[in-house]
This record gives sequence, C-alpha cells and structure tokens, in this order.
Amino acid sequence: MLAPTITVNGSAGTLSGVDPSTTALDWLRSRGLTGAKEGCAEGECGACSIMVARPGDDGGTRWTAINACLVPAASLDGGEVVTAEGLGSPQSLHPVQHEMAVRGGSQCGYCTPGFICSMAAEYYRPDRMPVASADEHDHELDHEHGPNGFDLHSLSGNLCRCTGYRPIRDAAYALGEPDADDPFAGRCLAAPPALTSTRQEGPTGVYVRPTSLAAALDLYAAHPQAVLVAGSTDWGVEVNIRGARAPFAIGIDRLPELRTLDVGEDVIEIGAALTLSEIERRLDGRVPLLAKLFPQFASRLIRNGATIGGNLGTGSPIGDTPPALLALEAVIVLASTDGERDVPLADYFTGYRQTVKQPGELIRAIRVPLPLSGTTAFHKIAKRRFDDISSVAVGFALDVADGIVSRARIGLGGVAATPIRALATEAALEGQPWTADVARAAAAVLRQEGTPMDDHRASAAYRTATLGTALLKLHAETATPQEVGA
Amino acid sequence: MTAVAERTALEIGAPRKRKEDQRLITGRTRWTDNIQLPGMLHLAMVRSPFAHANVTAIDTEAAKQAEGVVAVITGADIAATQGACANAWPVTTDQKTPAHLPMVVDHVACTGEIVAAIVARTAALARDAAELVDVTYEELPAVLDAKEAVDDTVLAHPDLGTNTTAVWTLDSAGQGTGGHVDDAIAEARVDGIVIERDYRQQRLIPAFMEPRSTVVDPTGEQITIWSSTQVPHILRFLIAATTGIPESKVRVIAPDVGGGFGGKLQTTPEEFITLAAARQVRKPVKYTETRSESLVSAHHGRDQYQHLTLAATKDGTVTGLKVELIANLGAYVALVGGGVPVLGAWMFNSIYKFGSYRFTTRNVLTNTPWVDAYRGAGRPEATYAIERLMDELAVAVGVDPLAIREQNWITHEEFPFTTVAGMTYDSGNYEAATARAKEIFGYDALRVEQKRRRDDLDPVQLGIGISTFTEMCGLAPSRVLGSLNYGAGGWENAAIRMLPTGKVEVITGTSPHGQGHETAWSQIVADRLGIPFEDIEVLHGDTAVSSRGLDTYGSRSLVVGGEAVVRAADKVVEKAKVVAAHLLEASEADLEFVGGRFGVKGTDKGVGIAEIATAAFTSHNWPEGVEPSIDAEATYDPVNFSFPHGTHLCAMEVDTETGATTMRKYVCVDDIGQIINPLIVEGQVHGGLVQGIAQALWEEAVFDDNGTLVTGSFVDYTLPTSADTINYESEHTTSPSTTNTLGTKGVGEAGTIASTPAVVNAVVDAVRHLGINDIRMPLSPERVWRAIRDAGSAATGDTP
Ligand SMILES: Cc1cc2nc3c(=O)[nH]c(=O)nc-3n(C[C@H](O)[C@H](O)[C@H](O)COP(=O)(O)OP(=O)(O)OC[C@H]3O[C@@H](n4cnc5c(N)ncnc54)[C@H](O)[C@@H]3O)c2cc1C
Ligand code: FES
Ligand code: FES
Repeated sequence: MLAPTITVNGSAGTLSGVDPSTTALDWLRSRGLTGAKEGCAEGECGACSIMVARPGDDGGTRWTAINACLVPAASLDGGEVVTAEGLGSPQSLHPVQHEMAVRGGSQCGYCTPGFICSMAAEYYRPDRMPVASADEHDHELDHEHGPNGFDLHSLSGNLCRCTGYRPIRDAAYALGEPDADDPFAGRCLAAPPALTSTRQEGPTGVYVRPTSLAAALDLYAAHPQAVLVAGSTDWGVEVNIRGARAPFAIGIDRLPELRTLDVGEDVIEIGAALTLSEIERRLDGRVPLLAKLFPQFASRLIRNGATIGGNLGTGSPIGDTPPALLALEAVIVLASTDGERDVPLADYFTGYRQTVKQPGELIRAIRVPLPLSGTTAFHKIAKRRFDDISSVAVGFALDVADGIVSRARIGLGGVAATPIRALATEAALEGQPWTADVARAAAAVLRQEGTPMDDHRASAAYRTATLGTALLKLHAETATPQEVGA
Repeated sequence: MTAVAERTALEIGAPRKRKEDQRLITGRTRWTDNIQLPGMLHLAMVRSPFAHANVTAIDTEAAKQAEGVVAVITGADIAATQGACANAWPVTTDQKTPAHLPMVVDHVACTGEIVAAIVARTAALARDAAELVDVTYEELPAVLDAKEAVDDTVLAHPDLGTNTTAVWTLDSAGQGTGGHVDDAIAEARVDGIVIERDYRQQRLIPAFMEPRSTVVDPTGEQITIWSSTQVPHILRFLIAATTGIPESKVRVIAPDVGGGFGGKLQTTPEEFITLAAARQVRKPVKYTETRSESLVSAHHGRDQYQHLTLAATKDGTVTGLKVELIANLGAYVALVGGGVPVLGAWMFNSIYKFGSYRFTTRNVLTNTPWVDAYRGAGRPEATYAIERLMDELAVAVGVDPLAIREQNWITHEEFPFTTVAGMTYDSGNYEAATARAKEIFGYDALRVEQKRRRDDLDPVQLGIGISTFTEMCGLAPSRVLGSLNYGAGGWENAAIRMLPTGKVEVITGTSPHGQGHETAWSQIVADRLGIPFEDIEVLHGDTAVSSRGLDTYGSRSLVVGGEAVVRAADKVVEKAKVVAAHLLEASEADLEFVGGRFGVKGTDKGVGIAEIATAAFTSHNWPEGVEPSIDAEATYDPVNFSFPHGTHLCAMEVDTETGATTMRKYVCVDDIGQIINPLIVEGQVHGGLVQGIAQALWEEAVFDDNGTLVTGSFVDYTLPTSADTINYESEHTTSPSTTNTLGTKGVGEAGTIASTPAVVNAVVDAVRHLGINDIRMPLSPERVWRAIRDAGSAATGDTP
C-alpha cells in the first residue's frame, strides 16, 4: 500500500510518519500552512475551516467546507484540500478574499481564513442562484440570503468576535459568479477524488479505510472493539477534548454501500454515511419534517461532515435526528457479517448510550416508510438560534383527515435516558378532532412525558412547558379556521 | 530641484482597504503559536480543579518519568524567581491586595489556578504528563458570589481577614460639583419620584478568538518574549519590576494578536511561568492555551451588583442619583481590576444634568477567576444602569422615554459642560443624533404598531428600546491618573523615520490587535507629510522597535496614539523646513508645505520632503549646525478625555408564549468626531454592537456551587453567530472633539456600551403591559418566559 497522500493546494503531501490520531488541522499546520487555526478543537468556532473536494451530484466534484480540527488527517487520504493560502495570495487575491478586504471583513484576522474557506465553498455551490429581481429579495425580511443567492447559513459554523458579522455578510452578498477560467470552478466539473483504501499506523493505533462494505464488516468482525469513524464530528471531540485514542479505527465515511439514497414506492432509504448536508440536498424537501430539522442541526460546517449514521451510532439521548425519525417511524438497517436486520428506531435504544447494536454490527441505512404524515413540525430548545445543542427536541407527525387526528407520532429527545416516543400524548390525540381544546389537553399530557433535567441551559420546568407550547403552536399554525374555533 | 507631483486627495476620511488584510486574508500571518524556534520545548499547565484549597503535597515523580518530559516545575521551585502578577491600580491607599503569584505555592484561590507545569518535547506529551502530576488538595469553603462575600463569613483569602479590598466613593457634595444626594432623595420621597432598582451585570468572558500563546527564547543577549498580548510595553515593565531581570535584558514582541477586547490587557500567570520555565531549561519554550483553559483562566469581565436610587421631581427632572455597587473582582485584584468599577463613576450620570450624585463601589474578592477590563470597562455597566432607569422614570411620569431623556440631557449650546461627576464634556450634540436616529428608525410608526399588537393581544409583542449614551475615551491625562493612584501615565509615543529612499516608517507605542492601526496611522501620516499611503510602513508591538509606549485599550489609540503620530509628523515637517529653506536658498517664511512639497510662494521652485530625506542620508548639502536627520519623535499626554456619544434605537419582538426574542431593527447614530477610515469605523461599531447585544441576550459565565465554570467551552459559552445577528443600520453625526488635532473621539467601545441597555429596554418595553419592569440578563427565552409567567405576582418596586 502506498503511503497515504493528500493533495493540498495542488501539491501532494505525504502522511508517512503521522499518527492516526493526528487531526487534519495539526497536520496542515505542521506543514507550515498556518492559515487554518485551532480556536476550540471541538467544531464550534470554524477557525480551522478548510475546503475539501467531495462527490457532487451528477458525478462532479463539490467543494465542501469542513472542520479540520475534527477529522483525522488519515481520513483525507487520496483527497484534495484547499486552504486560504491556496485560494489566493497577497499579490492575487481570490474573489472571496478581495470582497472580504474591500468590505472590511477582517479585523484581528484570526477567524478570517476559516471564513474565507466556508465562504468560498458557498461561492462555488453549483445551485447558488442569484435572486431574479430586486423585489423578490427583501433585505429587511431575509437577513439570511443575499441577492446573489448566498446562503448565510454556510457561515453559521464560523465565529468572529471582532466584526459583528456585518462586513462579512456584506462581502458574502457582494460576491459575483466565478470566472469562466476559475480553476476551482473548473475542478467541480471533473470527477471527485477516487476512493482509496487506506492504512495508517502510528504509536497510538491504526486507522484503516476499506473500500467496500463487505471488507468493512470483515474488519469489524475481526476487531469488534474498533471505533467506526464516519464524519468524525463526534469522534474528533472525543480525541481532542477527552484524549480518546483508537487502537483500531475503521473509516466508513466513503463506503459506497452506505452512501446511497433511494426514494421508493413505500420507503425512502438513506445511507448511513451520507452527511446531513447531502441528505438535505438530495431529499430537497421531500420529507418536510427532516427539512425542518436540518437547519437546526449544528452548523452547515458540521453538517457537511456529520453523518446520519453517526448521529444514531452514539446512542446519545440528545441527538437531534432521533426525535424526528421516531415521529417518522423510521427503521434502522443493521449490517454485520451475518447479514442484515431491520430494527424499528423505537426499539433501537435500550438505555443511556445503549442500543441493540451487537459487536461487529454497523448501521448501513435508515428507512423512512411512506406515505408521510401531512402535519409535521420539529422544535428544539437551544440557547442560540443555530449551532447549538438541544436542551430538548420534539418531532411531530400527525395525520389529520376531515378535522380528525387519525394518527399521531411524536418523538422526544432530552427528556429521558434515551430518545422516546410520546405514547400517551399520541393516544390523547388519535381519534380526536384537531381542535384547540384537544391540542390543549394533549399539550398537558405531553408536559408529563419523560423527566427532563435541570441545568444551566434550561430548567426542567421550562423544558416541559416548551414541549406543550410546541404542540399548541403546531395546532395554531396548521388548524383550519373551523378547527380553531372549537 | 525637480518638482514633485502634488498630492491633493486626502487620505483621512477615505475607506482605505486595510494594509494588514493582505496577510490576514490569505493566511500568511504571524500568530505567536505559529512561531517555531530551533530546540523549542512545550509547556502544559496543571490547574486546580478546586475553587479554594490548600495544596498540601505535589507528587511529580510519574510525570518526570513520562515520555518526552524535560522538566516538571512547581510553585516552590520558582517561588523566588517567577515574579508576580501586579495590580497597577490600587484604587485606595488602603486597598487590600492579596499577593498574586503566577504559580501558586500552597494556596489556590480559584478554579484554573496553576499548580505545576510540564516542559516536554511536544505540546501533546506535555499535556499527557500533566495528567500524571498528583496534587493533594485540602479543600476550603469557597465564596463565589459578590453579595455573599460582603459579610466575610467565608473568606476568599483567609489571611486577608476580609473580602472587601476597597470601598471607593465619589460624592458631588464632597467635591463641589453638586448637592447632597440623600437630601434630593428625601425630598423626592415627599414630593416627587424615587426609583429604586437592583440590576445585575452578569459575568462575561471576553472570548477573543485567538487563544493566548507565549514563546520565550532565553538564548540571546536579551530574553525575547513573543506573546499574544495587548500590552507588550506594560508586560516588559512588570516583568522587570517583579522578577528582577533588568528591563534592558527583556524584549517583548506582540506579533499578530487575535482580538483582545480588554481580555489581553493583563500580565498573566502563563506569561510569567513560560518565562520561568525557559530560564530554567535554557531553551525556547512555547505555551499555547486550549479554549477551555482560556475561558477559565483569562480574566473575565463585568460581574457587578448595582443598587440604584434615582430621585426626580414629579414632572421627571432628575434631582439626584445614588449608585451603590458591589463589584466582584474574583480571586485577585488584577492589573486594573479594582479600577474598572471606578471608571464607571463618571459615567452613571451620562449625558444628563443631575443636581446631586453619589457613587460608591465596594470591591470584593471571591474564589472565582479574576475580573478585569472587558470592552467598555466600567462604562457599559454605568450606561446600562442609567439608561434602564431613565425608561423607568418615563413610565413613572407617564411620558415617552425619549421625552424624559430630552428633558434631562445637556443641550448642545451648553458645551463645554462640567457634569455632576466632575468631568468636563468638551462637545456633543445629543439632539442631532437623536433626531436622525428617530428618523431612520421610523420611531413613530413602530410605536403605532406596538399599540396595535397590544390591542390585538398578539402573542408576539413589540418593544422599543432606547439608549442615549456617552462614554469617555482616550485614557488618559496623566495627572488625572495620578490623582486616582494609577501606576502609570496616560501618554503615548510615536516616532517617524524618514528613510533615504523616500519611504517612511511610523513607530507607534500602541499595540493593535484588530483595530487597523497600520492603515489608519498610514492615512494620517500620508496627509500630514504628503507621502503616498503605500510608502508608509507602521511598526508596532515590539519593545525593541518602539521603545516607549503604553499600548492599546480604553479606545485610547487613535485619540492619544494618533495625536502622538500627528505631532511627530509635524516635527518632521518643521525640521525639513529648515533644510528646504537651505536647499531652495529661500527664507523659511517664504515657504509653504503642500502635498509633500515645500514650495517658494509665488514661484515654481520647490523640493519634496522625500528628497530632503535622501539629502539627509548623504548630508553633502545640509545647513550648518543642523543635525543630519529629519526623523522625529513625539510623546503626547492628553489634556482631557474625549466624549463620543450616540443614540441607539432597537425594536425587539417577544413571543409571549415561548419567551423567544427576535431583533427586528437596530439603528445607531454615533458621534465619534472626525473619522479617519469609515471602513474601520463601521467594523468597530458593528463588532461592538454585537458584543453588547450578546451581553443582553446570550452570554453569561456560570459556575456551579463548587466554583467550577459550567460555561467552560464554546459549546456552553454561546457567542453569537452570523445567523444570530441582523443588519444594524449605523450612521454618524459629527461634532469634532476639541481636545486633539484630528478632532477624533474614539470608537472601539461605543457599540458595546450603548447596545446592551437598548436591547433590554426593548424587551422590557414589549412586556411591560404584563406587569414586568425588569428581566435579568442574559434575556434567554427561559428568563423572559418565567418573567411573563410570574408577572402577576411581581412587585414593581416603584414608589411614585
Ligand atoms: C460543534 C458541534 C455541534 C453539534 N451539534 C449537534 C446538533 O445540533 N444536533 C445533534 O444531534 N448532534 C450535534 N453534534 C454531534 C454530531 O455532529 C452528530 O452526532 C453527528 O451526526 C455524528 O456523525 P459523525 O459522522 O460525525 O460521527 P462520528 O464522529 O464519525 O462517529 C460518532 C460515533 O458513531 C459511531 N458510528 C458512526 N457511524 C456509524 C454507523 N454507520 N454505524 C454504527 N455506528 C456508527 C461511531 O463509532 C462513533 O462512536 C454536534 C457536534 C459538534 C462537534
Ligand atoms: S478549531 Fe474551532 S472548530 Fe475547529
Ligand atoms: S476578525 Fe477577529 S475574530 Fe474575526
């Protein structure tokens, strides 16, 4: 096997001698590329943002910004990375850098290279469309999109303490289209870097990336204690903050069998190693409940790396996808060398960070049965609007026919040791008219479900109250006038 | 003589792209952590997990045996040489100041204090070994809250005997600038309005983006220290003063510094310990903190309890204000920690004419991380209190809050005006700024909408918040600082070197970390000397280059440092004029200096200042008895503070069902005097606004009962992101400052000072009809929701 190699700003860099626990950020900095920096080492600040070449839709390549502090350098083997240094130089600024300079988007400059990379990835987004006319774009009302189609959420994982963001937003919204001969735009037209099999050994352990599911399952069967590394947004925090080391790690982020998304007649199957950004893009609103969830999940920067399998793999009681997926009655497809089995998500969690997953088993896919319920909502309480972990989260999926709730599925996170279904509330709704009184009564039941905890983020009282309010809001927003009247 | 092209376009006022950006934007920067030196070793700290404890034993054996470890250092090892974190501002002559050792020897007074340090081959090995140091602690009861500290039941430093370090008072009756405040209050209780309130300034964390880093190279003739500090000059002075190393043997460099906001206005334990470690191992040593270390161990800001009593006549004319503060200084009196609340003393009266005033701060020690300057330092706290009170007064009188302000503020005809606190405001025009702000904001229309929503019982209510603020910038006239017992002067130094090739180096004693001095100073000098902007290089932040300086804080750089640059430039012109007269064979009186060129009036004869610089290099043709140099240096001591002001208006929507708040609109019209570079100014204004808004809505340092910082990472200490902010509309009115040549007033802190009360006033205004007159910051959805839920039972506290 060749020594793992990453193409950085156009030239090849070898990983020989690099420990598998070394992050991409530390590796880049050790090579003198000090534009990307460690502001937190846990995915919160974006000072480490870099652009990587990822598979795009239609066989092309898509520049994607990720947190270099979270991913092992080894996981970028065979990949292409671009940093602020590679985008432009003082003598020839990249258009993104030029706008940032003209608008005063940099003050102390510590955050700037990270912003540049996140902004450049959005600049090259193939479906970034300028808003047709000025009327359509009301700045007063839409602070989050530029007239050039720039989505401000692409910067939600980057913190700046100096600028107050206004000059950065001005720069982002002033960007034009890439020139015809822009090399980075040109790169998007060609195929993404090929999948390579990787083995990186070092003092703390070994990182292996197989190229097929079968090979991965064999490895996992042989090393049931192995750490699976997908987007590494959870694992990277364990490594950096809690000093975790993996004697054996299996990279599953690029396994083709885990990266499919099929919309069938009666089920949508989502590959476990698809990132949340990819799922959001590929579903394109097809599952409204998930469409409501995505923008509230971490930041775009994190979603570009974080996989749906990883969100379920930890068994965390505060993951954001379980409440939504519970409401959707999703099924988890577990794979091992013994074959596959389907487990309803409601049966998947068995205790605090415990699941039915057996040694050697990984999540291959998540299935969402069709048809979908018509009335859905996702609410999450957090301190900050975006890029914040949940205190509690709730997903609603109701079928309302002729004013009667024929089916109710409600998923809750953060109120118990595992994500749970709000069964009593569902019962209080099913078969009842979708009226304000019924919603109020059901909200009272919902407030009793689970036992939320008290901490500095939110008190138990507030968490419970908010669950009820979420149901009342859903009613207020969706009920027809007759239903409201009753 | 060749004629030099005349420069006419003025640099001052132009939105010049920042010089420093070329590097910053392309990632080619010199942060301290980027520095690599041959043979360099790395440092990791062992920090106390306890808020208050005696250290009874430290077992370093296992750490010493660990891979890559070169040395393990304990407080006892370096007790004699490590120096001390100094307090430069004992606010009273009897201030109780606990000794603040960089590395503790036997007593830990707050979580995160450094107990031992590891020097190892790599940072990772040093951190791993730090885990192996076995410290035995004997836990002591801890006092965390300032109010609880007052009665001395639990002592933060048992050997001090009390938690109160100082009580500092300013009384208008005592100093002859007003009457007795207690008389005014007594009178108002009989026939007027008394508003009594308790406000809480929560503790904040400056949270600059660049974690602090220090590299010490002890191998040269001078010890070289690179540090991400706002105050390289002060650091050098205090290292010399407390370690005994001669000042001339220390060189401090602040390379690119990633933010500060006051948070790097400190001489830190980490810097002293890195120095001690490097001297011990005789090799270069680097220490870079992690984010969680930064959040707990770089100093915090704010943390005051404010008890306020405002007296007014029935019609709302304020007759007196009594301010009683309890300021939590944390575990030690930090560099200017005791002075921060004191700085507020001149600002509680703000832009208003009060008959009487008394300010008292009780500075207390607790077992929490030390508290010191954070953007605004003392002034945001004061502005918050008075702007909240003015709203309450408006409610008590039953008039619009803008009207009550207008009734009490200093009118523009009244300048210069000596305030009840004893400051002389040189200039200002509150009417103009307010009128303009109202207009852009659409004040009247929003009031109509507010009423409609109230009448409709809309679940989403609208509130309007006002903040008409002023602040004092340009720290500070040295004699004033002297009278306050401050340990240094307030002057600033600049030098200009006219290089033989016609290029210019400007050396400044200020130490920028995001403020764009390289650009602004170039603009000033370009205009003063008629030298192209591109030909000017600004050097700073290195004590070997700029030997004299007092660094950057308190919005002082432009007002004081910029003035020093102007004066140095003017000296260059004066010196060059003598030479020009000689070269042109004309009398000095016949010369005029325009666009970089001395011309003989009425002729086309002339010589450029750059040519004179070249002539100085050769000195072949130079006037007799004149030194062959036109370089110059100036040290400027400000005669007064400057007083920027402005009117901020904020509209907030409050969802009364969930407590969620959304900002609808924010307009600010600031008068910051003459503007050198509008691009830089806008950036400073917006950055400041967001920090102030963040105090109102999101940020708070929270400790658990043991004194552990719960908000110890960016996961929990939530800074706003771009999606949390809206497009603030900012404009300027200008009444130039009369206290400096450029007419500038300072802008670094204005936004932060003004925006916090504007936001809180708006949220309270949105829910006031529900019986709410205060909500504690930060106004999280939960706090707002609770206030609404509890509203029925909340006593308003008004005594009409
Ligand atoms: C700044 C930040 C913000 C965040 N915000 C949120 C948020 O808002 N909401 C939220 O829910 N989470 C959040 N997270 C957590 C994290 O991003 C998600 O849990 C993410 O989905 C994990 O996916 P990953 O691919 O990165 O997992 P990894 O880190 O690669 O893996 C995590 C764990 O899952 C296991 N695993 C991964 N894939 C599989 C698989 N296919 N089968 C079985 N096990 C598997 C791994 O063994 C590992 O233990 C945040 C994290 C960060 C750093
Ligand atoms: S360093 Fe902060 S997100 Fe990576
Ligand atoms: S420019 Fe300083 S943190 Fe963004």
